[in-house]
Amino acid sequence: MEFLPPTLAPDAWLLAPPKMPSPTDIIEALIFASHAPLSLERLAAVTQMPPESVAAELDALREEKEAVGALQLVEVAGGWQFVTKAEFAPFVRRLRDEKRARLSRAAFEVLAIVAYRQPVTRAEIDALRGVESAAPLHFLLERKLLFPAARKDVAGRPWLYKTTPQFLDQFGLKSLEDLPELDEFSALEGVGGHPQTMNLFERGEVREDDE
Amino acid sequence: MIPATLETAKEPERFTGHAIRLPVFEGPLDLLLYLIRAHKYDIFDIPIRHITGQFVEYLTLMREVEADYAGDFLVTAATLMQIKARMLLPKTQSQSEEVMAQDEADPRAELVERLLEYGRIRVAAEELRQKREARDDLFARPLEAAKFQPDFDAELSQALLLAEVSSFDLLSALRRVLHRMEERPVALVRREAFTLPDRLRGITVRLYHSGELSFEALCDDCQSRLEVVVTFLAILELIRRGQARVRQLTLFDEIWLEGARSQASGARNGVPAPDSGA
Repeated sequence: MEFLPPTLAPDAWLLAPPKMPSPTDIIEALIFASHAPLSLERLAAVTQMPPESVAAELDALREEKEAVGALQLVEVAGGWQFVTKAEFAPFVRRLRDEKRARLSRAAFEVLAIVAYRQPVTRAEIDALRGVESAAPLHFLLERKLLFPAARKDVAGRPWLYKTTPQFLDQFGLKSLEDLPELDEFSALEGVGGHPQTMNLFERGEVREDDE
Repeated sequence: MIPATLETAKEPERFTGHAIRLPVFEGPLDLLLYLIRAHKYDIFDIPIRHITGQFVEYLTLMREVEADYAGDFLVTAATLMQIKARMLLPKTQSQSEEVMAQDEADPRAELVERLLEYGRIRVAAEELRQKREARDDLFARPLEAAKFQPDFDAELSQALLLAEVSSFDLLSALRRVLHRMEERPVALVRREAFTLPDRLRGITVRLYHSGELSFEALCDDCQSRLEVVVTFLAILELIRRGQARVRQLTLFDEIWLEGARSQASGARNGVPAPDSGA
């Protein structure tokens, strides 16, 4: 048996305990090999680990990846996946020639209304923007960022629009709950605002003087 | 009051699918927010008189730049003027509590609410733009992009199934086919030269000379059904204008057309005109 390399000698594989890969490594392998983002549930099912442990391992893996290498682990709509870190974007972009359509300001406004208010009708979008929104709406439907989900049960039975999973993916959102919270008045920065009641009161006094 | 850059500043990269392109502003609310910000007005105490003036000024400017612009701006201008009018009106001495309550309310309140709401949307839109930009820098393996199938609830996946072949896809397919059809004309159809205005002139001239003509006589030069129909329409039009009258002696008899001027002679002959009670 001396012709065998030392690793294959019987005592090497008979006596040594089988080497189990670490759970973190298993999860890394699974996410890498999956052709779609992997959900926590699916990972738990495949690894036969409790979901809480998988979640802990995912956190560990994410931190580990963040520290070194070109890849990072992100949670997107539908699950976890590896993506390149942002600093490599210029290089990867040169490799791939994917052109993502530019969205107009109107399109972003329509998208924002649907994202935060869904489901909404076109008339509701028009009213909120104060301007007719058919063109940007159709553009977003064509891009499959929005879809007509149902008809509203009012006169004319207009379509109610919702955002698609593609929207979540393209905007790096895990779910709709992941949408940024909006501060009511930040839109009007520099506009200046006094309490509404005070102004009303002042105006009321002026009117009384007039009479 | 309006900066000079407004009329010239256009964003070439903006979405151009819309037939009506407005310079700079997305809509009336966008313009109002701009004016409030530019003049550092208090959103809760907008000087309606000033802002209406500036708004209308911009509208006039826009009309010069683009003849055809959206009516949404006009609607808002009307709203502004209505608020302005309501603020100028003295309080009514009404006993009705309802009217009193209406008087107490700030006429601007609804507009302010809309502006705040639109402001929030603008912030949300900007947040989304940044999110998208950040996401654009992250690349997954291409395989994922091709087979992206998230486990979503049934409603969504079914809707997506439908959305995959949307009505827009169908429409663009139709457009392509129609376009191909246009490329190979089957036959050339000459445009009908026989027009209603022409016929009107012709009949008027003939009536002037003859005073009275039968419908059949008027159709003597017609070469197709269409021309007969056009002649008939021309007669109807002359009657509507009061330039001619028709009469018929008995049912299914000849229809006679007479010029409005010879109407008196027709009445003298004892032939009742149809509109005089026949």
